[in-house]
This record gives sequence, structure tokens and C-alpha cells, in this order.
Amino acid sequence: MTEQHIKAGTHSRESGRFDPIVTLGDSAIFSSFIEPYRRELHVHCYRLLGSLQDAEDLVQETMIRAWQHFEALKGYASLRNWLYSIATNACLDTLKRRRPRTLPAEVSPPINPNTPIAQAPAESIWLEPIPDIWLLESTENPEARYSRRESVSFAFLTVLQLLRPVNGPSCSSQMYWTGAQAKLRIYSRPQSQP
Amino acid sequence: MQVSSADKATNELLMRYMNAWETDDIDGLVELLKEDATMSMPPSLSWLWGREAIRAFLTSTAFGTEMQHTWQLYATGANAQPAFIVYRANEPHSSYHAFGIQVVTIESSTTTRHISDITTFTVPSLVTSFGFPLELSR
Repeated sequence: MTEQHIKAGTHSRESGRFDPIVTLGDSAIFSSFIEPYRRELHVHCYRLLGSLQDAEDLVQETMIRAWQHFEALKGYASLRNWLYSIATNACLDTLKRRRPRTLPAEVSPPINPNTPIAQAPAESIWLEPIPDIWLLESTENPEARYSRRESVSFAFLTVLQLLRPVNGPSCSSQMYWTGAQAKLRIYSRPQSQP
Repeated sequence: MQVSSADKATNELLMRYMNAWETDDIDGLVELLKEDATMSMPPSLSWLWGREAIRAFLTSTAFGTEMQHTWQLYATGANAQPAFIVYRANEPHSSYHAFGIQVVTIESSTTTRHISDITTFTVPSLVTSFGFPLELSR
């Protein structure tokens, strides 16, 4: 922790709570709190949205919401949890507005190999890959790394995308993951016949 | 760190796969696929089902020119799955241009190990997020 962090706010050992004593409006101090979480929030948003580009936009959105509601952080158990809940809600809002990203086998029948390859649709509708190095860099311990790796396989992302958020903002990210994991257990990729 | 025999078998499969692409070995490539393997190339909507359909596509399209050594692959990982940075040469002896990122799915049983899906994201700019350049000289 830098001297600036220590001056600006501390985690109280007794209460485990984060007590920001920053002057609201000081964006440099705000950034110094938030920046260390940027990469892992990017991966978190990627898991929900299936695209690094979309995830980047939502990290920006998260930063803006956090900045606007910084006062609400006072007394919140953890800065990290607070940022994750903002990011999750921002992603769920986005998912309600657009069609899920999947892979071609989920949306059309297979082609005859002697026909020409179809053009790309105008809209971006596909899952996109994430480099494994991102998953390693953004993970704090081996256990979390294992679950994070497990939950970015394309099979898992497809299930997650096809599960639409229905409960609005009250749907916690935990419920969302548990639902997806339960569904993954009974889900096997449909073996379409040509 | 000890490498398990399962990891060894997977590595061997991936080495053969990479080698088959780079040496225009269609038979060698198809041999590594599961009978009901799938292959897609987003952002195109098109995808192929089954080893023989993939063979036909590779023969007519992917390796459809007289050119040799069209493809060059570099091993990486994406979405916690084996993946490759893919380059293609458009003319004989020309430099290799980024083609996209290929992610493969491996299915194993106690005795066999095959590739069950190849998804090639044919977006050249993606290679830069994996730390690779858009063009490689020969």
C-alpha cells in the first residue's frame, strides 16, 4: 500500500470495513483506489458478456458509477465486493438489452462443405476469445484461479449467455453463477445432425 | 513440476495437429478429429459437422490452392482451452499475415484422445491481444 493509500483510507482490522476519508472530488485518489482492480473487473465483465471489447466498455461504466456513488462505499465491507456488485449490475443491465453472444452451432444448422461460406452478420453476435494470460494475471490465489479458469470455457460461457437475467437488479451475481453451474451439469452440447 | 501422461498425450496430439496444418497434411489433420467433430469460423455463420465434411472443406478451401506451407500456427491458450495464433501466406514466399485465433476442444476417454471442435475466430486484429504481430516475415 502506498503512502497515499494510507493517508486516503484504511481497512480497519477490527471491523474489516473500508473507511474512505478522501475528499470527494479528488479524482487522482479515487483512481489510485480503483486502478488495482481494473484487470480483474475486466475479466469478470468478460465472463458475463463474452467479449473483451464489451467488457472494456462496462469497466468504464463501472468506474463512472463508482465515482458517482463513492459516498455509498462508506462502511461497505470491502471495496472489491462493492466494485464487483456495481460491475455485475452494469453487465446485467446490458444483457437485458441485447441478444446473447454464442457460437455459430447454436444459431444455425451446419452447411454443406461444397457451398460457399456465409458472410458475417452485421451485428456482433459471437463469443470472443480471451487470452489465458489474462486469467492468470487477474487472479489472487490458486483456488480462485481454478474456478475462474473453469468458468471461462466456451461451453460455460454459452450456458451463461443463454440464461437470461430475469430477476432484475435483485438477482445477485452469486445466484447467477450458481444457476449457470447447475445448468451446465445437465447441459450437453446438442449434437445436431446434418 | 511433473508432467502427467495425460498431459503428454494432449501435448502430442496438439503437436501433430499443428504440424499437419503447417505441412498441408489433410489426412494427418482429419485423423486427429472425432467422427462428429465440428468446425466453425466466426464471424461467419457457417459451420461444419463431421469429419468428412471438414475434410471436404479443408481440401476445397483451406488448402485449396497449389501453394505449399500456407499456414503457420503458434501455440497459446484461450478460455482455458488449447489455442493457436494463426497466420496465412497469401502468395508463395510472401510474408505471413495474421488470420485469427483458433481454439480447439479435446475429448478424451481412457484409451483415445481426439479433437471434437475447432473454432477459428477469423479476426486478424485479435492476435495483438495475444501479444503477436499482424505480420511475420518468412
